[in-house]
Amino acid sequence: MEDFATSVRIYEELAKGGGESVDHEAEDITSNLSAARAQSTWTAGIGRGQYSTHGNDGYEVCFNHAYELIALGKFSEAEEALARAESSFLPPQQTGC
Amino acid sequence: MCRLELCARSGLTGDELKVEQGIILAQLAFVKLLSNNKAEAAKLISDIQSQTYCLLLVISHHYRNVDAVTRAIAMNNQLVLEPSENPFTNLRILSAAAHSFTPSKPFLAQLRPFNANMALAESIAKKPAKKQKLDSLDCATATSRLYMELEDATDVLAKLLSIFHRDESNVAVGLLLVQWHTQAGNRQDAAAILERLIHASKDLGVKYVPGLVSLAVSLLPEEASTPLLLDAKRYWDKQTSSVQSSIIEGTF
Repeated sequence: MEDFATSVRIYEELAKGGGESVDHEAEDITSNLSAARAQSTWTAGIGRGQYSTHGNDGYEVCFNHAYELIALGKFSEAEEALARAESSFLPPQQTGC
Repeated sequence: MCRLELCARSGLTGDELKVEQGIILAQLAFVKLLSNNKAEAAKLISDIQSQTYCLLLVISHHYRNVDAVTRAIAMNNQLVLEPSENPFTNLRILSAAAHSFTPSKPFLAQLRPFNANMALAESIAKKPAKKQKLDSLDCATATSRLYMELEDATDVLAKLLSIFHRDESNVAVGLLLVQWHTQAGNRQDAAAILERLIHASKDLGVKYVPGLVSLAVSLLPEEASTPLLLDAKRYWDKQTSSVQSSIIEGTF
């Protein structure tokens, strides 16, 4: 359906719930939210401002954040986010996105 | 740090690591391309294609495999950077890239650059355009189809005006004319074309698309652009799906 704006709203609601009932559910929700936000930004051409990653600064979130930053023309920040995406392969000691 | 150590610390297998890093590098190459840093973009793309590249963080060369979709994206971007002088070579490479990319079920927005480049390559290679329904906002594809029509024209502006006269709702031609007049410093002519384009647009989703409205705000006098802006807001307010909430939140 490619209705990314709606999927962002749904994931935002799910994120508020905490998502603790299933292992890694919160991480999955944050990751999917970042993907939906990025694709929504590409589709609408308009950013949605800052958001919390709830401490999940893993590969997917950083990569999706970079994708969103590219859509907004923020290329230097996108490069930094991509570097963080790669650094997230390593144990969690790096700063977040 | 050697690759084995990196694999062990990341918890990924060697193949998984190759794929993930290939994706990051393909995206980084795209950023370099958009930043007009063509030399670095070309190097990254070449490394991805040859499967020999350095990690961003680890200074060490490794031979690695890149998945088919990443390779297709790299091929597409390499053609943007370094097209062959032989149009048939370009078309063949693009076809191969699209063939690898399409089975991954990309979103429409992801598929659009491939379609636009393919249409352009087909036009340059004099291959008849496929009779597929055009997305009315897919200006790149529509513009590339104009290529053959305009190539032999002695007066391109007159030809464009003639095409626009036949259909003033043609977004691609309208925007080409706006760009033409703007670059020549003819702001009034550019504004007149844009007004005609917006007036003729029957599809309100096209008429009120943010890019056109934004262009109108910058080109048209306030008495013309303000009502359009308000009409666009009313239109997007009424929509209950798609991207309208982002547009309303971001624009107004």
